Amino acid sequence: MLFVAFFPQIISGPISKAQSLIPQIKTTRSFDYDKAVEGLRMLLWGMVLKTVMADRLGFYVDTVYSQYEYYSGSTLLLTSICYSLQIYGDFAGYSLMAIGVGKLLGFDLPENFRRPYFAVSVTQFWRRWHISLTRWLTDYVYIPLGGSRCSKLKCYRNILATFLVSGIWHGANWTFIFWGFIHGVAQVVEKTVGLGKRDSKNRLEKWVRIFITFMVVNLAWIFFRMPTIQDAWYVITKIFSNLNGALYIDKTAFFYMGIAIIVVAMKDVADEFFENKHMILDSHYKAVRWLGYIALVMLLLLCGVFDAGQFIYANF
Amino acid sequence: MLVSLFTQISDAMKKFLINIICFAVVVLVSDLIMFKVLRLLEHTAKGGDTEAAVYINEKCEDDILILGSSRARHHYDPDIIGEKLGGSCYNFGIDGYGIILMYGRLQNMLKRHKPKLIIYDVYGMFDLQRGDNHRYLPYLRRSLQNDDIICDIDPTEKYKLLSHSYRFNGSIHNVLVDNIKPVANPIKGYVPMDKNMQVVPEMSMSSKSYSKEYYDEVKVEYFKKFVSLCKENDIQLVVAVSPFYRGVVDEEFKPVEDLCRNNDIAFINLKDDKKLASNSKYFYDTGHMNRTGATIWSKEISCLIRLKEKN
Repeated sequence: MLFVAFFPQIISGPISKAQSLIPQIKTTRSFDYDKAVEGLRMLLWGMVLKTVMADRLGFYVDTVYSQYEYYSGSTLLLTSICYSLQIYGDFAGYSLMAIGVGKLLGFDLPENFRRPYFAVSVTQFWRRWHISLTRWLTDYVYIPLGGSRCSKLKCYRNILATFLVSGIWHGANWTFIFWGFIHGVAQVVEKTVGLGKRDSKNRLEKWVRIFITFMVVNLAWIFFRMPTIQDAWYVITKIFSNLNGALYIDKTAFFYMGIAIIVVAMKDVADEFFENKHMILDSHYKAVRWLGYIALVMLLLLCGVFDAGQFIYANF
Repeated sequence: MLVSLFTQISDAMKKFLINIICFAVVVLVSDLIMFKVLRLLEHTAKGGDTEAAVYINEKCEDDILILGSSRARHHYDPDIIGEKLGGSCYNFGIDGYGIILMYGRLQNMLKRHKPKLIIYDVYGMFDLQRGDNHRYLPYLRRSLQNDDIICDIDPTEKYKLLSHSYRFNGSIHNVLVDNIKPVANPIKGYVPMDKNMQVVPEMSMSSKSYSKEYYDEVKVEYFKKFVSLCKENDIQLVVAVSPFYRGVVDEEFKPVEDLCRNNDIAFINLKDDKKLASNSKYFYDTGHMNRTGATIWSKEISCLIRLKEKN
């Protein structure tokens, strides 16, 4: 009962297994200073991701997607990128807040996001995005179907089936199923050409692969966001046919979106590529760390959206 | 009791609590400093909505005020109206805002100055239509006197407003831009648009259903309050619907029309004005007239108000 009702993750994960959480519930816990501080830090960063980035981007995304037929291909491309960032901020933000609250109470919940848009392949993307769902699908769908310990064709079938299940898991709509299908196909293609698990040593190759992966994931998110496959197809067609059309510029939205994207990108780049540098929030100096926290609190107060909007992933 | 409780807890917990208290103090101080800086910047604004907000709250002595959304801002030339009706005139229309903000601004102004005439340009989307009223909060938050209106829209705001700098949430860009290089260069609040319609749209009349669900109770209530406030202060109020290119039906304005009729207030609906409506040379989009259209409209509305005054 305590496991099912564990409030930090009750809305949308991270998906913990009983075998990892129940022993923590049963154990007598004493206050852990470092864990509590880490929890508060995650909570703060999660709030920034959700209210400063996701919800600010949401204003622009909702404005354009609600009347997408009136906007140019360039606007729709920008909006699709904004949605990719919005859903990342929304869901990674929620997950961080849940993990942070858990840590504050002395519980360790599984990591759910690891800078997914720096993935060099779609296969790697799923090791960085909603990690707990990937693990669940691997354990309960992919491996029971035979996993990768079978013929190549059966392995491809298993990947496709797993991602179709992932699509259905998100909702009973063809758009989600097609979204899952795109991810499944992309991984099959990567496996066929041997890109799935291979990392890039060459910096340029790495960035090209990050860009391609992002664009594939971005394209799939259009199906995830639009109400029907026809709507999504219309958006994609217009992106490719009307890219030189006038860009819809909302200066206010761009101001806040710009601030949010710069702040989040700085932290994610630092965490991804300069892990051992101990920058601002991880600095050895308390004054620097606190300066970073204060700046984030001010950012929340001045740029955060606090209008009781829902989390996107609470719908799934 | 608190002290004895504090002595019983672990050293790690003590350290944590002390740090939390210190952090809270630093946040409170930073919050106050940020608020003071932004308040200062508000008063040094070179133009734009920030300067207009300070003007309406602290300086305005004008006889005639134009209130409403972007349609008010772009359609009413204060020089023409002031000259025709006799008195100084200022345009307080603001893009994307409507009755909720206008009520708050009038309420603030009345503590200091009472105008003789208010022309309110009503626009369904911001004055009547149901929608998320949180969008009207940024400018309201900046005034310390509008907290009751803010809480009508969102009761949780009273807790958020415990932070001083939160009052600038969602409007910091205005303060900064208006200090560096204001986007618009208004003439007594009026922003004429020197552009024309690029594409003349094929538009059908609105097929919306104007049932009770269409209208926002909060907005309609604030329109009633606005009318009462004008009556209580003996301010002549004229509610107007300036011309649209096409696509709006009279039925949309019915609650305002009824309200005006019941309160003996002039309601001038010229959305289908014979000279201006459906004439692309007077518009730059379907809802907004350009400078040429606005000049004609400003003269026309002034004449109509003068006629109504005589009758």
